[in-house]
Amino acid sequence: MTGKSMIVSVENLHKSFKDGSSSIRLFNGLSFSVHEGDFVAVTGSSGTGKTTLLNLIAGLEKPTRGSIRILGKDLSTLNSKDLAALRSCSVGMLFQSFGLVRGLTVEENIRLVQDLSGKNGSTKEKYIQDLLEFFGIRDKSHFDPTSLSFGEAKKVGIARALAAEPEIILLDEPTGNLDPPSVNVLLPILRGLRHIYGRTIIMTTNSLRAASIANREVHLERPTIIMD
Amino acid sequence: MKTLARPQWHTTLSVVASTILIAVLVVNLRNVSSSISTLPLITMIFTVMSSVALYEIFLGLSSRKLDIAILIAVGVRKTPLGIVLLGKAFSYTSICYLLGLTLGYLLLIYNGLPVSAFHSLAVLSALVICGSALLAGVVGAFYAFHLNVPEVLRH
Repeated sequence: MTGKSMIVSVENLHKSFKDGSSSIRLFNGLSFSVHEGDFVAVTGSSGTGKTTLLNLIAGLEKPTRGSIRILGKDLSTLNSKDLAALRSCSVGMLFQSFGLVRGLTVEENIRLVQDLSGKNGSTKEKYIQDLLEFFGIRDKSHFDPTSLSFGEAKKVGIARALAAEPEIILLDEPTGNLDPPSVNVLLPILRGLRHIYGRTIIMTTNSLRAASIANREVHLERPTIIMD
Repeated sequence: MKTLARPQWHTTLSVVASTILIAVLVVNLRNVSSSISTLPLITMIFTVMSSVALYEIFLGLSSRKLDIAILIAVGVRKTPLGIVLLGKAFSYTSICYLLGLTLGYLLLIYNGLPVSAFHSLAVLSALVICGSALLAGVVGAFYAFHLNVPEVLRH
């Protein structure tokens, strides 16, 4: 890891939720770091907090205890404006439910993130066309996201995560709910994200096959449930 | 932001309904003879417009909740979102009010009814419209600010 800068640092992370009469404690002091160019698979069974971990790294949720640093910035010290700027410029995210805006076309969804980041120089149009080409969705660029298949929507979501050329990409279950042929198409694309685009990737997955393309794994243990 | 500002199917419905209501209220101007009797009319206009604006904002927010959550998650700041919602409430209430006012005025003239109280009421109720739009806009912006983004995205 020497020579590579630290992109994400998670230290002594705790997150608690109230669920009726019981409280659920996730992570129990989880610590790990992600360096530039790493491809980390976050694994663990359902309910272990994989999506919550990505939300915490994206600054969409706050930890109960512990700290998260992204590109050297402690998220707890950032206000909502700074967090929004971080998400628009430095963090690209694929949501489990795709998170594509209805009413905007595929291309507009991708362009939206690029516009928000402000990284829209003279090469922006070419970059978007390259992304559409790389993901094989050029012919769907004027489609409404609701008319796409699961696999296509995932591709659009990943393309959008790349649109702002962020330092880190968070992928929430990119192969989840996909049929085997779609997974066969998507896995080489995910591999390509690291090798072609040279991005740092954190991906949650339940699939051993998807996890195998990562170069590191963070396994989440079952949460502690405390009855009040 | 255009996706949030774009009118939805229920907007047309609420614009037509509130235009008719405002027109009916304006036609009733013929009974207005003093500033005291203007008050109930102003209150009714305020209630109608606030209801329209709040209805529009809430229906818009409930059907656009996911889109708002996505926009916040990809880095849209909450302040511009709030401004769009405020602007949307203001535009719709203004359109309904102006249409209703025009229709009511035309009906008064067509029926040969007196329009003496019309001008003062139009100015006074225009101020009231700003209040109702502001109320709905602030409620909408408050909703957007306190939206539980991870929870919405999860479902």
